[in-house]
Formats: sequence, C-alpha cells, structure tokens
Amino acid sequence: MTTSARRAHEVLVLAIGLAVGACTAAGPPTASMLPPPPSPSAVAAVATPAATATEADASVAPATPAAVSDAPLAVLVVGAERHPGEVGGFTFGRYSQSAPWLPATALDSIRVPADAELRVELDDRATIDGWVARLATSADVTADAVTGLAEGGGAVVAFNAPVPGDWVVSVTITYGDGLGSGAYFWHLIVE
Amino acid sequence: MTTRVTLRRAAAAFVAALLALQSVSIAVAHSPDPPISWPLFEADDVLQFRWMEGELPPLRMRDAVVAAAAGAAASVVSRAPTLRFAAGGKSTVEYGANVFCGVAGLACADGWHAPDHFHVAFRTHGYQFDWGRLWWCQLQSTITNGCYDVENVALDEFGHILGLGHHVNYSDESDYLDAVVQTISRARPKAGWDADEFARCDVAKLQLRYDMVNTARKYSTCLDLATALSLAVTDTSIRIGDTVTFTATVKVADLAGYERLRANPVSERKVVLERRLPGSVSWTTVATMPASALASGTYQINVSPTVTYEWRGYFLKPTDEGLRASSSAPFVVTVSGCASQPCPQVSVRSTQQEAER
Repeated sequence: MTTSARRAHEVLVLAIGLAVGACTAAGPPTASMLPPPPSPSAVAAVATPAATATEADASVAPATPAAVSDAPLAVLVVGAERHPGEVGGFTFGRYSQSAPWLPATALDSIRVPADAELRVELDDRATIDGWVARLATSADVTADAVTGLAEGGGAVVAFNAPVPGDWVVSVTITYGDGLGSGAYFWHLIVE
Repeated sequence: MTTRVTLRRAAAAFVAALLALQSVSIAVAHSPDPPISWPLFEADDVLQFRWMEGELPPLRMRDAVVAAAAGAAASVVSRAPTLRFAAGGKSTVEYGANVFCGVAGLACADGWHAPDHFHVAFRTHGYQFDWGRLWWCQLQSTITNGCYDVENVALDEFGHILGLGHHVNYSDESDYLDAVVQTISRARPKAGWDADEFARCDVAKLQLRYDMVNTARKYSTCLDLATALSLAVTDTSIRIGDTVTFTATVKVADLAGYERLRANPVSERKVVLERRLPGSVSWTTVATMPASALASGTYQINVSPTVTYEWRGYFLKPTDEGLRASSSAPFVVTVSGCASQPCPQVSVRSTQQEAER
C-alpha cells in the first residue's frame, strides 16, 4: 500500500485517535514546544519499518510516527480521472522537508494514452506561481538521467504525456504568495 | 563654484543612471534561491542549538551536524547568522522516527519561530520509507552507495533556517551543484551528495537577505547586480599645469529587488579614468583609479590635463563576482593656455603619490 492509498485509512485512524484523546486528555500541553495540530492529510501511521540492524547504529523505527509536516496535495488530472501525487521535498508554511526523487516502487502506477493532456491541480491551500515537469524512466530509480518535460510560469499546469514508456514524472510547483515549493511524483505508464 | 556645479551634475547623472536601472532585475536565467516563507533571524546573530531530550542523535551524526554548522558559517559570505551547538541552546536538533517530517522526509526543518528559535529533525538510520530504506553514510560501518550524507542534509536544513527556499533548477537539473538547498536530495555517489558548504546560489540569497560583511567582499556569481558609478572633479575649467582631482564612487544600484544590497558601496575593485576629445566616439584609458580613504566605494586620482577632454569613470565587470560594469556620465574639463612656455605635459598622479611627494 503506497502512501496515498494509506491516507484514507490514516484519516480514519486520526479521527478515532482524536476522539479517544478528547476523552482522556489531562490538562493543556505546553504550547511553545508542541507542533501545530495536524491537518487531515498530515498523516499519522506510516510504515512499519523493520530495519535490518546490519549496519552500525541502525535502529528500528516505531510503527506510529507522528508526522505533522505537510504540503498541499496535488492531483494529476487525465481526462475525467484524478490521481493524487506523492510529495517529496518541499517548503510550505512553517515546514521544509528533504526527500529524494521518489522511485516508481513508491508510487501507484497510472496508465495514460500517449496523446493525453496531463494537468496538475493543487488543493485550496496554495495557488500555483510556476512549475517544471521532469521525467526519468522507472528503471532509473535515482533519476540519474532526468530530463525536462515542460515548464510554465502561470497558474495552469498542463502538458502532454511523454512518449510511450514507463516513467516517473515529477512536477515541481512554486506555490503562490511566496509560500514555497514542492516536488510531486507520479508513475506513468504511457501506452 | 565650478566644483559645486560639477558635483551637482555628477549627482544628477548618478540619479539618472539609477532611474534608468529601475527596470533591471536580478538575473532571470539563473537565480538565487527563493526566500522561505518564515521570518528571518537577525543578521550577525549566533543561533545556538542543542540535541532534543530523548531524541539524541548518534555520536557520529552529532559530529556531522556540528560540522555542517561550521560549514555553513564558513560559506555564508554574508552577515547571515551562524549556527553553533551549545548545551543550553534555544533551538533543537532531534533524531527519531516520530519526528515532525512528512511521510517521505528524511529530514525537515521548522523556522517558524524565527528570530527566537528553530527545530531540525532527522529520521532514524534504517527507517523504511515507501521510497526505500534510509541509510546515513556517517552511521554506516562501511559506506555504501545510496546512503545520505548527514552533513549535506544538515546544511540543507540550516539553509532553510537561514531563510532559503529550494533552489529553482533548470529543467534538466544541470545546475544542481549551484545550490545545496535543493528540492530533491541526492544520495551517494550522485554529484553533490556530499557538498559541505553553501554553493553560489545559496550564498547569493544569503547576501541579498543579510547584506555583505564589508564593502570589499565579493558578490556571488549567482547574482547579476547593476552598479552605478558617479564621477566628480574638483574643477572643470583650468589652465595648463593645473591639477584636478577626479573622485569616482561605485555603488550597487539602488533597486528594491536588491534587498539589503541596494546602494552598497563597492570597494577595492578596478575603476579606470577615461578621456576622449569632445566629439569623438572612442574612449582612452588614462589610468586606474586607486582606492580612496575618503569613503567606502570611492576611488581618486589627480590629473594635470593639457588639452580639453571629455572624462568619465568606468567600472570594469569583475570576472569573479556578480556585478555588472558601469560608467559615469561624461563631462568636459576645459583647459586654456598655460601661463609660461613651454606648457607642461600631461601627468597623472594618485592622491597617494601626491601625499608621498
């Protein structure tokens, strides 16, 4: 299950957690050192990592990380279909995050026709000031041969699907009002 | 009287030059990092951080984070704050699985409370993401490809703390090495994976946001700042044998987009004095104008002209920094006959040479 598929489940978990928390909370927290309340998409349960401790100082991550850093959600629109993207590195509001190029294995695959027009839309937390679309083959997991696909300076992110193949497409969006930027990823199988 | 008029003319020319530059912006083709949306820390401040209680990074990671802070301090080339570990520091660096990073984040930063404090977090060595397992190079007994350099990632986070957003790369990312503060982190052995000092487009934005340490320091080559040169002379109507003093003043143009750099004096660069016969097109270099002790960004030379010429100052574009060339508005120094024959030849003396005589 990839992160986007997990999100619906996480929102439910979060809602249950909040309801339980409301019944058991014992006094206000110290405000200054606490992160702000997570938005619904600021996910709770992520993976259940089981690090193989073959390397020095390797540690096993707990199963319920409390992630609060979050960027606007982006969807890839192909005809009538809408596909949530995975965000990698971003700066937005009070947070910045470092992340690598997200490989195809971390993404749900989307089949699109070769002549499809692809559009990207953000949720209502940010507008779009500019964007750059890049791609690498799915086999190129570290994007050693990344190439530019399209770019634009306006609020509409629209470009044509790449040539037939198995691709990871990244769209780096510069948010409006100086709110930052974020890299979003989709795994496209162009037919 | 003549001097006052000339100085007024020079000032007017300076203002005109600045107005003409109003439409000029910072280099579009290759720009400094954008700003981040949180508040700035104070220039020249020392930001002390400590390890968060209960989230202590392993020793080798702590060493690398401290090294990153030193690397940042060594490479800001500006009045940007420095970061330093101190047990009682207000800011925190933490290490764990339950840090505040998003689902794909190997590290993250929160500078929302600037200029008071900040938070930086690193995910644990061995953490399993959807994109793969995270290995920190410094924590491996044998370094393998695919690991992330703590120092490089910490430098990226510290860059955010200092006010930098992710660099906007060319679409093919051929300029990736121009910034450490990047949207996409690189693992070993991809170029840039272990950069341990800010790169030129990080430095450019730090200079814009915090100003230069002094007027002689070099501007990042990621900048493309217009300059304004004014030239004044002590007298515009002389007799052969008289000596006049030319004073050039070089500044960064006074443009809003230049943030803290606007109208900065520019010292210890090369400014030449040029002349031409009235009506001619080409200029001849007379001499390089030595720096003056008069004020920052001023250059001064004494000249004894024997012929009426138009004069101007010319600031040459330095090859190793992001400043543009500029020239002053030209003006005429009229030379009339000498009192005694034969008339003296043209000579050029700097104020320093003059003082030594």
